[in-house]
Amino acid sequence: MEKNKETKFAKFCWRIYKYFLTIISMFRTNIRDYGMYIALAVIFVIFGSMTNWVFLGPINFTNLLNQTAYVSVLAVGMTLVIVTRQIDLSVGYIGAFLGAYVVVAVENQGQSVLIALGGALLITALVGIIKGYFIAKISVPSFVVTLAGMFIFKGLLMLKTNNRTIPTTNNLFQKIGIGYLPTYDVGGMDLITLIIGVALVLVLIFMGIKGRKKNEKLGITNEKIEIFITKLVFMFGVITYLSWTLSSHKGISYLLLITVVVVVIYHLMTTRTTLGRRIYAVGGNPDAAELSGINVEKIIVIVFISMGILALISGVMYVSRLQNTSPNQGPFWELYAIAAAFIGGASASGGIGKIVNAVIGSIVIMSLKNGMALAGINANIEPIILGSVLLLAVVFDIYTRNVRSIDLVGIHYAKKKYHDELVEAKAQFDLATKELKEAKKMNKEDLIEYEYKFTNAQGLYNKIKEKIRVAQEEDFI
Amino acid sequence: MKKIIGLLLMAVLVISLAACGGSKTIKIGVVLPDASEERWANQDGAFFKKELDALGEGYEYEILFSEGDEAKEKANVEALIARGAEVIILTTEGSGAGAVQAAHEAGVQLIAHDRMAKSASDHADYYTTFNSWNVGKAMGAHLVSEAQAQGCTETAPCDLAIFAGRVADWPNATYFFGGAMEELQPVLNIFNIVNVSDTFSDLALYTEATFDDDAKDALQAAMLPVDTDWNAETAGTKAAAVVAQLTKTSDSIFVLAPNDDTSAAIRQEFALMSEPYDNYFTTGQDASDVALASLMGDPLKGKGTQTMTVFKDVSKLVADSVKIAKNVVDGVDGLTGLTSGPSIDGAKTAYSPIDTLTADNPQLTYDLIFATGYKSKDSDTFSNIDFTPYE
Repeated sequence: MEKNKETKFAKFCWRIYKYFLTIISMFRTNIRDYGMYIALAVIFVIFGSMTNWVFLGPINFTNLLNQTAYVSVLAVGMTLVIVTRQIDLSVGYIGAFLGAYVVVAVENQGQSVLIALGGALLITALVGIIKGYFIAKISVPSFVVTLAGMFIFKGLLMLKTNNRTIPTTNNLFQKIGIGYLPTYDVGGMDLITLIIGVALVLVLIFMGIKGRKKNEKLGITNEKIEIFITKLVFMFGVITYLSWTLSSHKGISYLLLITVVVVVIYHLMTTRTTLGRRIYAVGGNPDAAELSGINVEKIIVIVFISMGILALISGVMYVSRLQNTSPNQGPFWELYAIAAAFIGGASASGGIGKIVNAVIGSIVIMSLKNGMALAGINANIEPIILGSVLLLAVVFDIYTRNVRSIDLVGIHYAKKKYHDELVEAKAQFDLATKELKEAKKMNKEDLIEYEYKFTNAQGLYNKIKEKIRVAQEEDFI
Repeated sequence: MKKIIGLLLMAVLVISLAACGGSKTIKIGVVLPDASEERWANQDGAFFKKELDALGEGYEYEILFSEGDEAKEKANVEALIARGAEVIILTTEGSGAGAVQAAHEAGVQLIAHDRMAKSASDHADYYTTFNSWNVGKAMGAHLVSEAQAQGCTETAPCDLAIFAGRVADWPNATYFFGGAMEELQPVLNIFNIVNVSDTFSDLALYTEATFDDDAKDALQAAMLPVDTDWNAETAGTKAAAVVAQLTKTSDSIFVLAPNDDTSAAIRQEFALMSEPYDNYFTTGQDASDVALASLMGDPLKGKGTQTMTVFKDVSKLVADSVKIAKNVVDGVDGLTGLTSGPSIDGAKTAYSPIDTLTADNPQLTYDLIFATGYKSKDSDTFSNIDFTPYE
């Protein structure tokens, strides 16, 4: 009786221990993907504690998401540009110019918003084709082509605005810039946001289970159930928090909605379509991609057109939020987007970079700006911190590039199973080391024999250690 | 692994290092354009700190800078609102439309400090400014009186070069220019305009009272070719273009320069002429060190001769803004106890006084600038000047 209870308790403990081992294994294996989430959490906690948690409160969190919108959209496009080993310095002024184009067309020339947007879309598509042509066909470095574009569009922006600030009055601009989705107030909370939150959670659970079933059918190994559930619980927490904060202020802004739509479209495009695969293939190895039948030039042109379209969206969001277009707009947008993409783990050597992570990178940047303003920290410090974070993120990325996957549960099992072998090998190795040392000291003639013995013992010992290191949980069930 | 943890710890450390500013609820928020510009950091910024500190308990405040970025400006305003500000003093980077909207949506009063803040449908509640039109008039009047003293007439006109501030800096630059043109326009026939393109001769006469949207459009159209962007380098480039195609018709040149920095850049280009003018008369404003050295009779460190500057005592402007903010917090009308001017763009406007300093009257410059301690005589820029006659 007593013994039974004890083993039950031990079993329970082991299960908890095993759960943590699994989670830690996942973090250590995928540290590249999770590093920035950890960084974001750290930033949130620091600014939260510095501002009496105003930073994470409903008003400021809504502000933060709205402030991040235009950078996020640019960062999404920039990630693909960086994935294909290019860079685009022109998007800041292109975005500002297109914003000015739309505002001038609507406010001063009396065009309808749709026609103005259509015109801007045509311009940006054409510019994308020209940029892509110079970069892909004529092989001018993208840095130079887009640097030229940056100057050209700075001039065009000043021409378009005639060096004046032009306010926006059209309803659509007001809606995009400062409007929120319709709300239905219940006890100070917006019901619609809450419903969207619940729907999101349900969709996540449903999609997750469906994905697992599909994998089972296809014989693909699913991620461990513990990890799956932990991720769901985590997502549930994040979504609950988001819908709580948003619904207790003003609900979901159009800026946020547009950002989410762009991110979802690009996320699906990069993960589920041939085009997405091809973009990453071109970035990973252009020559191999070309040889396998991918039209590399076309892909690069497409990437630059997509960047231009996102610059248009970003520019319209920016002028709408600030309710004016002015010749001062545009500088630094592209640099924030590039920084966001790199903080989000995009690799300068191409082929690597996730859409969602670029958005997290944007939130990191804007959190620094927002948090410092809120905490009343000297604004001069902000660029220093931002620069340090950017550098750390890239260094972190390079350090973790060759991290091998690890399964602590497997190691735990393996340690038990190979315990005797390991002890034996270790003893042999120690003995051989000691003997070799003595032989060297006494300068024995058959020194080579001892060295031979030592190398053998060392090899055996390392082999067992490696066997334990790569052990998987599945091997022991 | 250890390295990774080490890096993460470093990140935490870097961020925590900055974590020295505490955060408390505030009543008054101040948003200024750029901490890297002398004017905002060391003049307005410093005076705000002094004035607001003097208000003491019940008027907690925070001063933030926008780094020349409109999005950051709106974010700053939002941050101050989130921290409970009841009134925000703002010098905008662009039009301030986003800031006005954010403030009014949260029911917070907005004071536009030195630069008007407005959107298409809304505007700041209060506007504190120097009477910019009068600043311009002082500049124009100086050029006209010196020209008349030099004996310029219709038959023997003197050369005149005109430069303007940044057109986008509404209303200031346009008001400076309009005020100056109000003085110059009636006597324009005693001048020979040497600008590359003369966009000025056909301008109608506008006064502050008759100023309207048409006047704004006409004046800004005239300003565009001579827009210095408030930037010394741009001003120098544009002056060099004037100098390059210039034919001298008189021994004296009169230059309308919008402020001291651009004025210095412009006169350095004129000094590079193969045969420079004998007499050089030019305007400016802000009472910069270089301009003051020139006014006090040191053309070396004064970078040539500047004959007048308009001194706008920023501390008075700041005091006005703070007084309005205090009134708002106290729950009385903002302009209580202040000199109000005609309302600009619908905002209740308070005018702060200006002073005209000229090279002809160094005593006044000494009394207003050095005797009051506004600037220190010990500054290296003034090392060639003997102050003893004025003390």
